[in-house]
Amino acid sequence: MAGERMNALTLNRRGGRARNSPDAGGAAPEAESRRERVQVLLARIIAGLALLVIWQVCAVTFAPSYIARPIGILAQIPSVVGSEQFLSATGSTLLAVIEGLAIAIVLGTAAGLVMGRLRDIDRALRLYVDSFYAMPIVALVPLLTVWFGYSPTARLVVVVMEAVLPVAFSVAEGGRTLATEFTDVARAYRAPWWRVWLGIALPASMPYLLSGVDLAIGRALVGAVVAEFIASLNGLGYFILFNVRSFHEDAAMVALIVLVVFALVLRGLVTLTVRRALPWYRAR
Amino acid sequence: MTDPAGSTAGPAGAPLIRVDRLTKTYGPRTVLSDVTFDVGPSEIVSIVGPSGCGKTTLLRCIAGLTAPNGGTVSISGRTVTEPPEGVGVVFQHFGLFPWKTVFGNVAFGLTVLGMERREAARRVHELIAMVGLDGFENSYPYQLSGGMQQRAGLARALAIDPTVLVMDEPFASLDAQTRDLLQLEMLRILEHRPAATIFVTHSIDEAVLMGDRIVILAGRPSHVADIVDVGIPHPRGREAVDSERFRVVRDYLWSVVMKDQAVPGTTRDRGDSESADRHHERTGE
Amino acid sequence: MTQALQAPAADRSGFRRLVPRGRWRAALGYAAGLVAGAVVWQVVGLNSASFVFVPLTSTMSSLGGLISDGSLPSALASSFSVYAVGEVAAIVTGALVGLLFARQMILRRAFEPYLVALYATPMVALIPFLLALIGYGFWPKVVVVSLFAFFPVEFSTQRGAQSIAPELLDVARAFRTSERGIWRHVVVPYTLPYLMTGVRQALARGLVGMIAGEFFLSAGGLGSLLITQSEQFDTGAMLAVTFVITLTGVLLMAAGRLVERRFARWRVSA
Repeated sequence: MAGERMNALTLNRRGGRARNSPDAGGAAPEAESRRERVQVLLARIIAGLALLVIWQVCAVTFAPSYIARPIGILAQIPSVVGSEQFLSATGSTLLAVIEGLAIAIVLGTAAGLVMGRLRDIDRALRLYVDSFYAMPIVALVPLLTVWFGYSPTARLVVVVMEAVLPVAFSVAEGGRTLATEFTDVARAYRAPWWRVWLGIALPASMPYLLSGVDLAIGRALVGAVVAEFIASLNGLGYFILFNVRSFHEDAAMVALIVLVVFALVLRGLVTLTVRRALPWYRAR
Repeated sequence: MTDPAGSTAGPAGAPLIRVDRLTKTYGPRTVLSDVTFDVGPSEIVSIVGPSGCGKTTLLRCIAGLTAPNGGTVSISGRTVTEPPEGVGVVFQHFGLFPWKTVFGNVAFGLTVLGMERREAARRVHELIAMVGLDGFENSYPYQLSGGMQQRAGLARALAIDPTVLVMDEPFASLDAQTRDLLQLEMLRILEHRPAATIFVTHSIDEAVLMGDRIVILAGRPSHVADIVDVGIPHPRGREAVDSERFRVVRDYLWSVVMKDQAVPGTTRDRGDSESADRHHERTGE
Repeated sequence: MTQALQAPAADRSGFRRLVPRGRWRAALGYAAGLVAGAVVWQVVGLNSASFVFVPLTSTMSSLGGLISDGSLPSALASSFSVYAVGEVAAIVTGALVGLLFARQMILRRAFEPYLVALYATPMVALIPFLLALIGYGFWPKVVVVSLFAFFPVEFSTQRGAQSIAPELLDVARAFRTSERGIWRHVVVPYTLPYLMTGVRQALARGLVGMIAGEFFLSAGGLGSLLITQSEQFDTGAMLAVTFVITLTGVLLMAAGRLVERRFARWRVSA
């Protein structure tokens, strides 16, 4: 019956939430009936299977045998996951990313807080931060290999550089937009400067920090992989490169899947942290 | 149909809008039950009822935006199954397209109709002047106050020269002074170019001031508790509010609404079901 | 306007009293940063081995050399033809897919997890696979750029088209707008600013894709120039090219923000 169906769009708020930003605290998902949830799950499984089938069929019919395909990947999983080469590569990359992220968070938060609250320094540094942010950090990798050689240090530096910018940027923005009301309250009570920083600026910047970290995760992984490609470092990136070059694409795909899972897990952790640690936060 | 003063009355001329035993359910819940009333071609009928009684749902059925589960709505003899021609709608939150200027918004109905440019422009300018928005043709909604936005909404509805005007709590989002002003302006405009008008409100005073007759919705599910003839002559100005007749009608309305509100069991789950109605519609049924 | 943090007691340093307020102060701040950076560059360059760092002056002369011998201009041309084609392709397909998914709820919810996974994939890691599949050259690089740029566009467009206030659709329907009319008068104008936000992000991501693609997928282009120079330990030239890339990035970002703001005018209060 006309008037019921919206021809142009079936709006559905549930599917509309931003997927990749920390959906902090506030938006409670609308109650879905069990039936709907099952239907969606079914649709997803079917969609996934359809994609896999198309992939498999196309690969088998059109592509040379070394091109990756689902069945091949599945077959390779046990041997790859068990191989020492793979495990050490995984460990190497994951550790580098986590280490780099940790360093970036500390440096970025510090820099961001300073930039957000001290206008003069902000202006002086802003030019460089903006430029670095606009530049693809991967363009620096060859230069960094000249400086640090083909070493894990180069990769770490790349990861830190990739990750520190979104963090610093976000924290700075948070500091800049800190409601004047808060600072007014602090000054009215003659709070010492360190209280203002730790007690007000830091907690208020947390949502921004976490949003910056969310962005940083993606960039960090990209940096690590590029560094491993160029410097031939032991790691998932190099594992992929090596195996593709030696026509073992299925094995390489397994490594790729691990990378994706890792990215999703890390970002999921951020979302979780936002929900737990910042229940008071309502996304703007 | 009841009239507290005892005189009989009915819509002037053959009714243009007929709502006949309208029923609307959402799943297990019945929102509207057996709603029946008429609206004459140049009559203003106020629909009043507490929050969440399905007034908006009723309006949407009349405007063809929602289909009823039982009963019919007919306009000019034809059953409404989709938004009919010649029906202008004014929304509570203005519903202006933020990316269009006032001119663009007011002209929207004409654009959809495919009216020729110059003719449309002429009409739009005339309407913008009528609602008092001269000089704001090229402003965007975000630059306007609430009152001005609603004037634009009004102009937009009037632009298509409607025979039916449907208004969903049009002044509810405005501050009290603007509301008072626009009420009188609305009455003046409708004097000038009458249409079969349905005016939904939760304010009893507004219902009495605006309407020729008042349909009172009450109960769960909502049904027509009464239809009252207002009997205050046009043109109405601010002084109508102080008249004896106004007081009588208003007090009567209050008594009906209070009686409904005081019934035990109905007050407890009286929450705002209006937004729940929307939710149901959005997520499909 | 947040003020510079100061101790509650009126404890302004003498320096602050010397410096004039407002605009001048801002300009001074930026200028100071610029000058400081240039000085640092020069000093560090003069005090390091030439394969590690090179003074600003030498960098500039390397830049001059690269321009005059034609290697930089041709690299720019190569890079940006790839970039332009890749971006256009990504923006068009991203917008269309975004609209499609917003429109068809079933499709959207079914493919949502896979899109999320793809969005989270470091696209760089796909480059070796692409190389094996489609080889070297112009079009493979275009594919890489498009892959990088596609997802922000798709995501933003979809999010925009999904979030149209139901009331606006009601308005359109109440005025008996046809399906086509709803797309033209409501969906597209509403989604445009979101699309532009996606475009801004796509410009940045595409740049990364361009460089990364050039590292592996052929001779020609700025990325490949960098690789050659790194193998020759020609740090001066590398810094020069990096400087050019940075400049391009900054310009693209500025353009992106301008475009975004232009289309978001009416969202001021939204």
